[in-house]
Amino acid sequence: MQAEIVARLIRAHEQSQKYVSGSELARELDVTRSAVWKHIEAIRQDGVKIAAVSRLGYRLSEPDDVLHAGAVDPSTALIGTTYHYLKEIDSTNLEGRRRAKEGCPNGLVILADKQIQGRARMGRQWFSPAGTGIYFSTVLFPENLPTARAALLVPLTAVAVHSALADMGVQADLKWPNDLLYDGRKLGGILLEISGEADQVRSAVLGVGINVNLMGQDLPEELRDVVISLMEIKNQRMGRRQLLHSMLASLDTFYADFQAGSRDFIEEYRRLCWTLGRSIRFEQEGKIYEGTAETIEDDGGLSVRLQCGKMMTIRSGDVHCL
Amino acid sequence: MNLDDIQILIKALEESSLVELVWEVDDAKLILKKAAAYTPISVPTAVTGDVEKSQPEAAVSDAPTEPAAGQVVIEAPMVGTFYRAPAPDAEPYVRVGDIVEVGQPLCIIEAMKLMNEIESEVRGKVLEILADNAQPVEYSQPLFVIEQI
Repeated sequence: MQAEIVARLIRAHEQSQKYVSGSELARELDVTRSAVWKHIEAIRQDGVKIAAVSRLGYRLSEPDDVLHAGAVDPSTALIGTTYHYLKEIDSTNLEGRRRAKEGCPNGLVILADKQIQGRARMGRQWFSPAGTGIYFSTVLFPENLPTARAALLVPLTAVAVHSALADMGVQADLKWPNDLLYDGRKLGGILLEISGEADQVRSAVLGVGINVNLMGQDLPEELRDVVISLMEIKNQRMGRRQLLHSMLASLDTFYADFQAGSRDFIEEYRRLCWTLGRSIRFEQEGKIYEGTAETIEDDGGLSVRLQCGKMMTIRSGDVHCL
Repeated sequence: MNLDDIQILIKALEESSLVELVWEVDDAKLILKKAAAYTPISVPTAVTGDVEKSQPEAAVSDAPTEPAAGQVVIEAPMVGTFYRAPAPDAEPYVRVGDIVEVGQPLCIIEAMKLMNEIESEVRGKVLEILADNAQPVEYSQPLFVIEQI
């Protein structure tokens, strides 16, 4: 019911109808006006801003920013065909893993307006306060994906998100393996978690976080120089809904191609990868190495020419650009 | 050819893009294959006598002994970094002597920000943990020995 109300208010916005009256909603949804009012309150509790004007009715205060289930219709084949909006959650990836265990639909997308324990690699935090970003995870049950190939979903997602950002005029830099940077600062990231016994991936939970309307003052001091948001780049508040639709659509296409056997995204990733050609430092087996990032291997590994001239391919850990 | 020569060849193979190196002199033949180059075929859940792993045939140094009957070796399903705990300050998933259930997480292997939680395929007691925390592991490298209960 709440999704239907939000969908109706979105439609009103798209048709330049300013307000939808309580009685109109009550009639359309076949409920009482007081039931409508209760639902509107519940939707507000979910973090959606709804303005009410007496004798006129209701409207969404920021229709382009609403990520509620009723507002999101990605028209995809798989990813996001089941979509759950949560006002807040510990982490969308954790929730995705819980749902995967329970046996949720393939392609389920869980989006949270706020993550209490947004996660990055190895238990690190991902700063994700309410209303400022897009934090979602999709749960995939891939067909015939060997574990050794699963990591390819990271560059695939990076390319898909890059393409969605490019559509809104933002050229993000893809730092190997999972960061989206702008101006050397972190705009977004990807965290992939898989589980499975044996050599086949049973479920993959693919998390994406993008900083959208995050201001310097919202951030803890230590993050101010390392984090950037779309609002800072574009110098205006950005509606999150269009970008979410665009990311889901792009991810849906790339993933369908991937399942069909295409590896074209690797070539695209090579073309876009910001790390290539740079001097980097990284640690492997407790030793620190320096070298120049030369190419991306077909399995997603980063090949580096070390200072001594030898080549080395790295497949895990962090790289620091010098 | 002596052991040093073989080690030089292993090193050369490791740093090259080759996946296999065959060296034949007179009646001696040495075949080196790279573990990481192979897509997994299956992760053994039970004991087999299969020693034709893709380990270099010359390298025998710290290869674990064959597991006894009733013991299951959990191997790495991918190349990556082995972590015994979900976060640096967290308790390890399992310790030697712990009883684990089917589906219980044993460790994480990380590669390219893919976190792969490896689950136990059997119910049993952890007898050995064969890899060190935060160390790289190769495809099919043995990680745990579990005694089935």
